[in-house]
Amino acid sequence: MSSLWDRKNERFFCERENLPGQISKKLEEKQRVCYRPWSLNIKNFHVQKNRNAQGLCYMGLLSRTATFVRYSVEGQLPDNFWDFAAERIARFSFQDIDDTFDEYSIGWVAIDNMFDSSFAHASYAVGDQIVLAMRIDERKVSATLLKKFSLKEEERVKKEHQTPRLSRGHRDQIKEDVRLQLAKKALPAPSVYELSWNLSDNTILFFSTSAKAQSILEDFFKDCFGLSIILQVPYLAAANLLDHSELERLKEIQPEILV
Amino acid sequence: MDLVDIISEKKFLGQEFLTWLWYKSEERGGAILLPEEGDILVVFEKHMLLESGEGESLERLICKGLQAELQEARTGLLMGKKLEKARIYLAKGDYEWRFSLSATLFEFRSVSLPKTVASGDDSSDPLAWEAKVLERTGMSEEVVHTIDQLFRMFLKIRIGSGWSQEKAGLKAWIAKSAEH
Repeated sequence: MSSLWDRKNERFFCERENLPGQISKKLEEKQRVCYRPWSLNIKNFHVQKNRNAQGLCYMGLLSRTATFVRYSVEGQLPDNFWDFAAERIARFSFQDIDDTFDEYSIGWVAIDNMFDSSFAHASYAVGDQIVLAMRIDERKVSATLLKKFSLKEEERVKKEHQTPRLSRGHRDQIKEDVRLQLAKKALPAPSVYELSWNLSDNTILFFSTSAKAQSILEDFFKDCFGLSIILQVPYLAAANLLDHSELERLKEIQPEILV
Repeated sequence: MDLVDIISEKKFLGQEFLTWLWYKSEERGGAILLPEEGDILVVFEKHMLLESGEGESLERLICKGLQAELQEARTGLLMGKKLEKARIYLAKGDYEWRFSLSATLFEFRSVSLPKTVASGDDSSDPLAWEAKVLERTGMSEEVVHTIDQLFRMFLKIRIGSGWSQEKAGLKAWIAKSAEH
């Protein structure tokens, strides 16, 4: 296997074909950092430089560049907070579904190792912060495959029953059965999203701008800690920057024309 | 008001702030005086997105280029557009950040954090690892905190009696910069 750093697109290619003379020691080092054993089954692949060796988090907490939004945590933390947090994090830690037929699993893992759900190698408690990664494994079925195999099964049933058409309910049932069969064959695809929870000001930096990931985090955080979190868009962030009378005036202002 | 309504009805607040910040950064060659902290450097780099209208009448203008003076973007301001996203260079004390800030949601994208001693990769030492995590979260929070301070400055002006004067200066800047 050889490797090539693509400066223009800032990504790191690894290919099976040999590219003699183009691999420096530095690039080989980068390859080791980016290397993932399951990628050996893929003929050609590329790994973005910000992807962690053992996680799949782009622009995360430990990446060279980070992408994040801020949340505020609503409500009071319990007095015995660290005991409370330890119990909840353990209860909501990630459960592997590789050897089951479960379609979906979500839970906490260590930020630098998506396989460490017991935090054996690195604690989630860092200073007055809790640093966690939310891992989601999901068996996904592509719409194209679902359509193909549903139609195939419909044709088989029509021949078997010698009928030109199937009812809507029957077709829906076939589609759901096929989806379940395909889901069982699919490997669970992981996604990892990191967060740091600053306990001194009760805010969270969530290292993703995906609306779907943010929505999942809001629900999962509430389930885990019983606390709501609110995305700090400008108008809500202003509530922490102004006093009461100023906020009343802020409510009244209208968009300004600047030309 | 739920979050979706707040985002749609109050998105102008973030866009006006980002537009004002561009004006402020050019007023004194990039230097902005933060109350009780002194001067910081805020430079708008050559990549920005402007918006006007909403719904079906929404118009977007993307400007980027290493040698460009963002003339199209300045003309966009003159056409009534406001800044929705910008690439910003920020220097405060000994540290410097580069990041893209989106106005509507206050998303910090592609944040390049300052290089420091603990930036090295020594994952075998738990203390070094902890220091690295603390430093990175601290540096990330610092850039958010600085934007908070700038946003507070803007809000105080925006809701205060000085807004008419500030708006006049902003309008004059838009008109002048589009001429060049």
